[in-house]
Amino acid sequence: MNANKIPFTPGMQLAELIDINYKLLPILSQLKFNLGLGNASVADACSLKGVSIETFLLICNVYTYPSYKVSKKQIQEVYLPDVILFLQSSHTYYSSQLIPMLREKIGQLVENCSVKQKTVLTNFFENYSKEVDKHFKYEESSVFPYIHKLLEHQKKGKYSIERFEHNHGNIEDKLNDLKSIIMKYLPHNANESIQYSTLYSIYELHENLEKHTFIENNILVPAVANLEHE
Amino acid sequence: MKKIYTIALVEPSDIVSEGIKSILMKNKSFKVIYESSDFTQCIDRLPLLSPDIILINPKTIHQKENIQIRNSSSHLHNTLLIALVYDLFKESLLQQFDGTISIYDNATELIATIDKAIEQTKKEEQTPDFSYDLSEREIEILTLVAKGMTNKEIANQLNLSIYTVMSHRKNISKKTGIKTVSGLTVYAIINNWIQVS
Repeated sequence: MNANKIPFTPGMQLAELIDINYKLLPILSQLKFNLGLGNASVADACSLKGVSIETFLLICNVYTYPSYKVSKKQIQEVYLPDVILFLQSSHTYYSSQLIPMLREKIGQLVENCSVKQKTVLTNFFENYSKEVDKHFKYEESSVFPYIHKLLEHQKKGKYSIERFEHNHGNIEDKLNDLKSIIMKYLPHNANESIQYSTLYSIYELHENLEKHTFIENNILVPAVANLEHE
Repeated sequence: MKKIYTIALVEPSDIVSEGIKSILMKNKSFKVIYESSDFTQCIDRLPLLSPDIILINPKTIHQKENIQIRNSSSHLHNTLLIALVYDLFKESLLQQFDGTISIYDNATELIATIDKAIEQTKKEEQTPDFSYDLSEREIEILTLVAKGMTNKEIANQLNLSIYTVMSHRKNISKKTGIKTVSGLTVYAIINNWIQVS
């Protein structure tokens, strides 16, 4: 992966894109892209789905190249409804797939632990998961509707995207703590065979959330700030 | 596991900024998490980013008389500040940084300056102990944290200054990799340091 250092382009085949970074598969699935398009280019696939080519490529590039720099021009040209569509669909992906998968693994992990240990670990995870849900709901019920209104040139209220940044609570710390606990301080009677795969799932979720936050902070927020100043 | 230091880069020139970034990326211990051409903007982002190191071109800092850079934000107190210079600056300004990199430095010199600054603060923090086991005092404080006590309450109970309590807490998190109160509580319960009803 990442062997090809050149950012993705519209003329590239969709299949090539996945070959370079298979971690883009969930994004394609979230955006309901069809596979089996033969040698269709990224541009063709996007047009077919009615998704902005530039915005789609921007997201794929951010997901693939750690040092990818988003330019001012890209922010100006980004198609916000598609950024929101992506963010919203990835919320669903995390809530309905990654988090339940992790929950199941943690359940197996502490199966043979004492009731006390089992309760404290699963409660910690459930609280984390609730916080994540709350964070997503806040974005979906307040932030995204606000942006849609702004796009329709409706008078903006007191809210401003700057506040979003402040409200952007840090759910990362808890996931990090969970990682440290499972990696370093698991009770001896924990199910070791599932330990590695649990950690893998935590890292996977962590990486996804990191990119997700990057897109919010470095694409969504500046683009909306531009819109507010218009 | 080797620690990766996160870096915020504040430099107005794209060319310089890209160059520095590519040098840093080659070194696996550093990760550039934020770039800006404006110091004030960087300050605003600090609570969210909390980088270990900020590389700043002092030109981007609004230079009033006797400005104290570290007072610009409470989040700067635990952050390494490295100046990135290609002009002349007042000595009183440069002294406030933990290190100075000149644009004419080569890659090795650049990394060496950052490493030296990191080593220096490590010494200052006086935690050369890499053992993950906590000291008795730390366990004592941890259990009080897990019981929901504030730093001030803990300081009162143990007859310590609030700064000592904070420094213990910092060390606890550093050793365990656990930052949040609820995470620390899980850790304390698993270790049987506190009883739960």
